[in-house]
Amino acid sequence: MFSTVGQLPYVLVAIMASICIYAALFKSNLFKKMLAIFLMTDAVNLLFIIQGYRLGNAIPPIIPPGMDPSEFASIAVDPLAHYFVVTAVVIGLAEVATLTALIIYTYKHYGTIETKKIKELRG
Amino acid sequence: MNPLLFQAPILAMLLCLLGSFLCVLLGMIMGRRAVELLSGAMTATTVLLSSLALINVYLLEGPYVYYMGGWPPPVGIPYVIDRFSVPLSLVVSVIFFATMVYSVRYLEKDRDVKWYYSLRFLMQAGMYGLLFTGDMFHIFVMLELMGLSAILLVPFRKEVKAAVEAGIKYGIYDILAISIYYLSTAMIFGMFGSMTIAEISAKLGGYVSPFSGGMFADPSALPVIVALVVWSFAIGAAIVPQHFWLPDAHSMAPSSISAILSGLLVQVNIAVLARILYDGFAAGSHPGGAVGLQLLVILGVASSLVGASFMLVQSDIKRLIAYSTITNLGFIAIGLGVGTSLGVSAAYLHIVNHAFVKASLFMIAGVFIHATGSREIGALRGISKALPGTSLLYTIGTLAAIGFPPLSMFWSKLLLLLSVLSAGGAYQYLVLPMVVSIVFESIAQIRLLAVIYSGEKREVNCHPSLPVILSIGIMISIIVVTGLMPGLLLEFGHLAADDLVNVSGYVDLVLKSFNYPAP
Repeated sequence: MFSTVGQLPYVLVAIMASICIYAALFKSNLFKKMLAIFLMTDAVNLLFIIQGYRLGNAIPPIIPPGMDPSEFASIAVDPLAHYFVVTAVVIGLAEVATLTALIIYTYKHYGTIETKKIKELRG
Repeated sequence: MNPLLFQAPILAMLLCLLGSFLCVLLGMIMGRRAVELLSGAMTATTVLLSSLALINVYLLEGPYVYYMGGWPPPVGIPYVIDRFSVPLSLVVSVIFFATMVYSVRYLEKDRDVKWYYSLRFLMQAGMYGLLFTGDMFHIFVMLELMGLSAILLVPFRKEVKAAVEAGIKYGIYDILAISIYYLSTAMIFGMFGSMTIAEISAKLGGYVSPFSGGMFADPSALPVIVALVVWSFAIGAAIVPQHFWLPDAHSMAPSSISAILSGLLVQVNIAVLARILYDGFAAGSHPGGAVGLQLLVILGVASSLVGASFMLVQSDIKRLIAYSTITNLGFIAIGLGVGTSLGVSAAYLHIVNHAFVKASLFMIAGVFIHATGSREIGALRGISKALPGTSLLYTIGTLAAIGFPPLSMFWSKLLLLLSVLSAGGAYQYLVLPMVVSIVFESIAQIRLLAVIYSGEKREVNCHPSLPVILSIGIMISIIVVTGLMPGLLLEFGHLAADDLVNVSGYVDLVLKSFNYPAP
């Protein structure tokens, strides 16, 4: 329906998301795990933006005065994608705060943030 | 329609958000007694509002849709108040109320309880949102609301080393799960151009929306999205092989929080997954969505077997109960995955019954741990002579958990076995692993009961106070009463399954009945 930007950005997003999922699962440093999760969220944000974007003479989703709404809808980029990204970025802030606080407490108790060296629980 | 009845479920959610804010404010100005009074009153009001919603949906008006802000889908967020979501929201309210009464005395020695009550309210609001919402992106937001508050409540006693470790473990995996879900919403947006669950299934059936048009892409890639959604919710609902965080998080949290995590959080996750699979991806009719159901059955069998076998080797009472949760979540996944109307209603009843049973078991385990000062099962020897009343309540709860007739979980387990048997094909052989896990679970639970009733009378640190016993008593009496009325239970289960499985009815409800503002 939309004429979007070709295959390459999607491939980049896929690579980015795969690396991040790998790092979040298999890196042993808690901080690196956290960074991987947030980069993963950013990869998805990128995916949203790419899907909402259109090539050619696209305009931002702010209606200029005097323009016909149907004409505007045929050339503007998709504002819904921007809405999702803004919401996700705000939520990401809460995630960062939560995980950083927990990592600080982990460091206070154990003196390390390497998961391999933290073995109180049996899993 | 009466505006109060019409808005009751949404008011309950707004009250929770308001309560979360007021708890911190009052805690800073007036101290903990005011916070406890306020959150007690507000949680009681949510019980009242959820009951009003239940009466409205079952007896007066029937299912309806509340459009947030008056905007129709796909522009706005529809809240679907139907017979699947409303009973579950009442379960949420009742368990939050019981644990509220319980926590006042349970957390006497802890400091900074205002944060505890505030986060509890946020988690409750997230659960209401997840149960009612009809929008994929709103599910993401509400998962964050529920997940982040749960992550922070697990290490509430932050001076305990293992609690912080359980918290960070739970935090990393839960947020990873939510991020994976976010990836799947982006793919859904690319494929359907809409986030409304009803529009997704309508577009799979060829519907062209006046707002967002038809499908944006060929639905042959749908199984990938379904697999991502099932994966993310399998982490949230602790289904094998993503179960590893649950025993740590549920055993290290304060017992009042364990009750909520084990009784509600995982079940809400699986209820939302059922909603997405059945009503969103049309799992009953579309082959792409049916992949999700097959995944659920396979993972459910693994879950029930793994959970039940790990129960046999536990020496910590809360870990034992936590592994029992994994087993029962496996049963629920099997029931939902079988896909017949009987299977879905059995799974639904199992969600409700298991919520009450597991919450009460964790609350009593908290009393035992306070009394003995230890979490080891061996330390419970002779506790029945010191705390006879609590032990009796624990016995009833355990008997319900292993499915002893006529307590509530007997009926749902029986229905699950019957639904698997009547599903035909390869599914009828699932009855074997299910029976094996039921037997394993019973052995582990009865061994624990035997320890409680053996030995000489022992000294205990403290006796449970009246509110604690009262809150546990509410839960146990619900278990007994619902067990004695299987006909009523079955009725609820059938109606809920009808509303869930009947995709065209759901789509009609969301997309056609634009009845806001209330006449």
